[in-house]
Amino acid sequence: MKPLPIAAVLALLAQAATPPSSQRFERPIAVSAPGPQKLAIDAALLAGGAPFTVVRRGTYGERLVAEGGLSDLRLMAADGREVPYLLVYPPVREPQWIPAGVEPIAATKKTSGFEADLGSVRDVGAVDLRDLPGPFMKRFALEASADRAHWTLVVPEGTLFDVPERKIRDTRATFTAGPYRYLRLTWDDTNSARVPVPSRVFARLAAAGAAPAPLVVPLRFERRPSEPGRSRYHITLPARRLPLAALRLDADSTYVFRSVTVTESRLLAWQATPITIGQGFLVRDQTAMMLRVPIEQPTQDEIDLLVEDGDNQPLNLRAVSAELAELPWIYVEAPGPLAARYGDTTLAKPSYDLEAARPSIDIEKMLEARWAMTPSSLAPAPAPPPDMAALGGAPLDVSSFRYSREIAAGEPGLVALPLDAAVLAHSVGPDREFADVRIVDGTGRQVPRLVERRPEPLMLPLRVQPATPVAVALQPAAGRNRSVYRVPLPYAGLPDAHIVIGTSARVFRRHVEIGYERPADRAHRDPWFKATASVEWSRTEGGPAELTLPVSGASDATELTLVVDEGDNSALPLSDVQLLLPSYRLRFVRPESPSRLVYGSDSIDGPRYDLALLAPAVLGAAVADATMAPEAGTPAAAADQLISPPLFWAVLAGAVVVLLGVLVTLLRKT
Amino acid sequence: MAALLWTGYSPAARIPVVVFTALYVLVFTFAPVIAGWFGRPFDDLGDRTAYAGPLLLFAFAVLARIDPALASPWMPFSVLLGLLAVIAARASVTGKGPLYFVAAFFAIAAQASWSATHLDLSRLRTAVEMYAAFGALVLAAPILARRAGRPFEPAAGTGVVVLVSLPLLLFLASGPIAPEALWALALLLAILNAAMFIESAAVGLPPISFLGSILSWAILAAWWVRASGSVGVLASLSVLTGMTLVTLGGYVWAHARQPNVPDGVPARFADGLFLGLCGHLCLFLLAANPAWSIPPWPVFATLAVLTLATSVASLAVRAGALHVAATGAASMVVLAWTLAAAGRSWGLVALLAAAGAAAFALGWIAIARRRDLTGAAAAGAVVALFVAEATAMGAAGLPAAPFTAIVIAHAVNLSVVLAIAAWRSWRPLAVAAAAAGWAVALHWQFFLMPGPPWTQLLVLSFAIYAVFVAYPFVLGRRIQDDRYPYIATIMASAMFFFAARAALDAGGMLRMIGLVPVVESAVLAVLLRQLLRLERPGARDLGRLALVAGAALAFVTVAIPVQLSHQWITIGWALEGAALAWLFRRIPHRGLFYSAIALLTTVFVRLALNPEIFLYEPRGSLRIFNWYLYTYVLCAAAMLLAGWWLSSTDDAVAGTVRASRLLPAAAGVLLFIVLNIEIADYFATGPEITFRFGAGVSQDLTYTIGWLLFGMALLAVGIWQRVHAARVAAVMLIAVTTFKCFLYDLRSLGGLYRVGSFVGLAIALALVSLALQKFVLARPEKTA
Repeated sequence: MKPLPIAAVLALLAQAATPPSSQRFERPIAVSAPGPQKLAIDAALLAGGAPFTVVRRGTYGERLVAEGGLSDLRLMAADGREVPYLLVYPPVREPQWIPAGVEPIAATKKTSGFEADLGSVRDVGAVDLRDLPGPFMKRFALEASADRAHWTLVVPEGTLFDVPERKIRDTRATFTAGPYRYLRLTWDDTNSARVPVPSRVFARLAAAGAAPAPLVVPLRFERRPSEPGRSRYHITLPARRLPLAALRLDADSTYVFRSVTVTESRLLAWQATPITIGQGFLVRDQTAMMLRVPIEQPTQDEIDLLVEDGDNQPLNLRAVSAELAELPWIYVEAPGPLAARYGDTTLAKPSYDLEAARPSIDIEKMLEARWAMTPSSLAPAPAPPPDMAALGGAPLDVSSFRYSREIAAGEPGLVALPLDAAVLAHSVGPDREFADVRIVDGTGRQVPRLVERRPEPLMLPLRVQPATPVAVALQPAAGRNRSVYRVPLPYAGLPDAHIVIGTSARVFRRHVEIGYERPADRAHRDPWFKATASVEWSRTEGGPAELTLPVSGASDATELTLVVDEGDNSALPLSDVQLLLPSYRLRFVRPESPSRLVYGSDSIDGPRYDLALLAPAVLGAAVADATMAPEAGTPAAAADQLISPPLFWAVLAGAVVVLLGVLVTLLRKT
Repeated sequence: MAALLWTGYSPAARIPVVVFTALYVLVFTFAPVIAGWFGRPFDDLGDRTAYAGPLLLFAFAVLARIDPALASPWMPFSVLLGLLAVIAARASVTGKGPLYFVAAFFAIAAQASWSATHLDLSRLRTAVEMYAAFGALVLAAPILARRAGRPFEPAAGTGVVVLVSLPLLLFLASGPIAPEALWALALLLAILNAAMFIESAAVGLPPISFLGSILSWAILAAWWVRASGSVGVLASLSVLTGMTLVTLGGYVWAHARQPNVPDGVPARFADGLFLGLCGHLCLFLLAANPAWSIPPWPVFATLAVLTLATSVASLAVRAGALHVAATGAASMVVLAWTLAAAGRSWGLVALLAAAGAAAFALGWIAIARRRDLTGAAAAGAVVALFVAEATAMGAAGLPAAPFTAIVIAHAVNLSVVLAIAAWRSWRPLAVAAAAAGWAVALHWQFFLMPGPPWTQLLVLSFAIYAVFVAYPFVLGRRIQDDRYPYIATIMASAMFFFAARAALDAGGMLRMIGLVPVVESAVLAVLLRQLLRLERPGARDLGRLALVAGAALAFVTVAIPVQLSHQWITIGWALEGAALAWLFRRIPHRGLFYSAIALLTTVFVRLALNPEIFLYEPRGSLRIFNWYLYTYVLCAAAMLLAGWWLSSTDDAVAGTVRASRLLPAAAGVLLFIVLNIEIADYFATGPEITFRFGAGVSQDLTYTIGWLLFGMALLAVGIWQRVHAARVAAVMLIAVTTFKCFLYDLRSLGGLYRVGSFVGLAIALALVSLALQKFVLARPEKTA
């Protein structure tokens, strides 16, 4: 690359000092020489420009192409003149698949399979068993031959699957292209049922060409807390509506065989809830290939990844990257150094006379210009989302609310307030759409909020302690060796949840019940035990050490009772008991004045905020979590008053005065 | 009594059991006295029956466990308290300390039994009053005994009693009532710690107080885990501050009671002061949690108090290491907060907090000087400044940290570190500061780029570079025998080069990168000039001179390939090689010599053995006066000059051949090559030079004439300079040329051309023979 002339760069920078439009970004472009150029679209441009839409193209709808984006892009010459450009897609020849007849091969005890005859020697690089009916998931080996006498092992070991129930399918095996006529696929029937011989298979001609390598963008991600048997990751994309085709995952496990789900928050009825935008199966054998999950184009810039770990250790991701759909080139006949301006997504797509040249453009043979530097900001980003702060709520009489909690002060703007267990317990909760959970500002007006359901659970540690049961059915009796534990809940009235119980025992089998001990009532003469879930819990060497049980049914209970039937064994050691609650948070625009969360009113109906109309913008903006004071009326809140802020500062000031006095005394002695 | 309690106890018998137990205890405790009243005193064995009294106190522990009515414990526990007081008095009077120790143990066991069985929120007040009453007795009894001149023996026993009492507080700290028990816990910790310090100081056993402090912090940690999330940050910080102040105050007090313990003893009270740093550890964990430390003012205020207290304590006991640890810990707390908790809005606060910690450490130097702890105070300041550097790096990633403030923070931190290094003569510190500068630049380059504008990396690295460049200039003659400032400057120069390269690359301005090493080289040259002026000839540190000079030239060497291309690289290296040879005359350091030889060897290889040379640039339209001419001639001239300059030095390469002989030879080879290139270029027709012999008579004859003239010129030089090798080479070249002429050229000539050629050749050979006869063979060779 030849460097950009200094004078040209300075001229462009000087030009940037007086931006003529509402564009938010400017980037100089280094052209190799005046004349026709092509310029690649990169992640920085996608992040700032008008978004593309991913559509399926091609005979089989196999190609994911990004279309309709960058309507705001304008290219400027050094003298400030607008330079026409075109978005030109690289010519992609459709992959050509040819059918092949199939004959079964002799099956053995552990293998079966078939041979496919292409009719003549052809250059092929893939085979597709799309006619093979599911469900199946089988390992296989693939050989190829030109003369049916000399065979080449082109796929030593692979996995093909089609599980319609889980909507996962991969019936295509690719291999290094070569001149072959016969393909022999051998199934490994050791651990799976035989599958029928397909009526035909399809082979992809190698000479047909392929789409260009997709743009891959590394993504930021973080592990989120999760229940046993699952791994959750939160992924941040560079921008909303990025034209993604798939996620690529890099994990440190040698073998991977797990299902994965990708979700993003979308508004459904009263709450934003995780919607699946991608689902698949992560499969990797010793070939150490990259794991890949096809996904729909996300509409937000935050997505979540859920991996079902099964009986394995949690999947440890090392890197996550986004594979983008096919992108066009920017074609421009550059008079010299250029600058790209973009970011005002309200601009319509420009129309240039240059369009007449499109048929004659051979984009692959063009000289390639380069982005000279990272984008510089011309204008501040619009407040996300626009005009949301103006959507003030109506005044609210908070006297009927039993709970009021100060929300920590901070910079005004869009924030998210996670709802803790106290809110879940003392509000009407998700069953009534959090109708009584409101945010009010310092003037008593409501602050519109949007409820967002998070995919990961809200995890609370619980203590388990041996208990003497009061329920008659749990009383000790001859021949019954049961351990009864009391598990205090942080609050009564929590929504349906799950409890996770861990143990350090390695090999055991126990019958476990969980429920509530209830006092005598009209139907029971004595205290009784209401079991809500029971299960046989067994573990062999290497199996999972946690048991997950549903908890529901007693809104007034403050503790659970766990009953373990020990049989003739010693008591099972229990540890690490956790309560998994559904996780919610409120998105709202933090006002200038102090705000607070109020809840605990049974008589109020659900709110109807105009904010819901802006849900896509509200959900699509990255936010920081806000915090709030402990709940008033609880032990925690009472304890918070153990020392008032003025007293605290006075104590510290007094300590400083005393210390300074000691210091002066010491120095005087010296 | 055990059988009664085990088999037949009924709550209805509570009062009789308590009364009779008390009576038995008193009877057994005073049995020797009673025996004396009857005139039949006990012997030794009988005397020991007195221990049955305190042993019987186990009954209260059992009662607390089995009797639900003891949820209200005052009746039996008042009796127990009274019995303990009586036994303590008896133990003091008789000198039988174990009487008191056994009784105290069972009193503690009774409280533990009651707490485990009955303690809940409704009985918190009762528990606190009970603990306080027994704690006060445990505190007072040994003091009174000592005042009465009858201390308990063995002396360590009283401290052990306090230690055993401490775990009782776990009932408050780790149970469900922990949040509400905050102040009670604080009060009891204070009482028991006071007792512990008094007892350990009284008997001169610091390990007792060490164990007690560790236990107290463990109790506080248990409370923290259980309840701090409930009571909020202010209350938690208050307790933390109190515990730290009690710990520090206790040890200072105890140290003051034993001020003259020599340094070599295994344990001193002053050593226990380091346990006060547990407060900083708690703050570190707390600061890393944004839920606790945003906004950070309570945490920072507490940190300030703890650090001030620790430093005052260090001053009081003259423990400099304690102050170093405290300032380092304070800075680490700020760093942890910056990295883990400070979000989008707190970048500037992070910088100011780090600056505050460093400023405190610096200000303390003036105070510590009064107590002869200047070195420790300076070390503390250095530690704080280095951590402040890390904090500034962390804050650089936060949106609210102004770039100007970040630059100022780095520049000031490093400047002060360098100032301390010079002041205290801590020489390697300057290098450590340079390493910190490297870390700053690398962090920005690899963790923050390409987010911020590329100019920021340039400005930041330049600011750091400027600090280190100014350092030796500012110090001047004060660092005459110190190499480290110059090493630091060179390290910073390298840092700036790489950072500037990354910045310019990000900004698309890479074509200007050559300017950076050239400017750096010029700066180092100025530094070298200052060195030469500072050091007297003959007393110079040649290694330091060579280091600076070599670095200056190294930057030029770097500048050449990054900025120039093709033949200009070669020319640049040739000129630099010659310059190094000149410098070697002034600074006879072998490193300079071998650098010069290496560069000139590279130049020779690039020009003589590199076929790519013909592809560097297309042939120009101007013949002979083209880039080949100036490239080869300039390089050859550089080699000749280098050889001339080296001839007056010790220039043996690895002790064998002198470089002043090799370099002119290499120059001659280059000149001969360029002669042939020019001839080929003259007759070439395409875009590239091609050597074509036999393509034409004129070209072949031109080669012959050129070689002959070159040989004669070489012979003349050999004769003039009296260089035997040059003369031999010249004669050989002339001979080869002659053979070429006779055997190859003349066959393609006819007529007068052939005659003329013969004549010309004859004249040339005659001149050669004349010259040899007159200047070589006529006199013996004197010099080779």
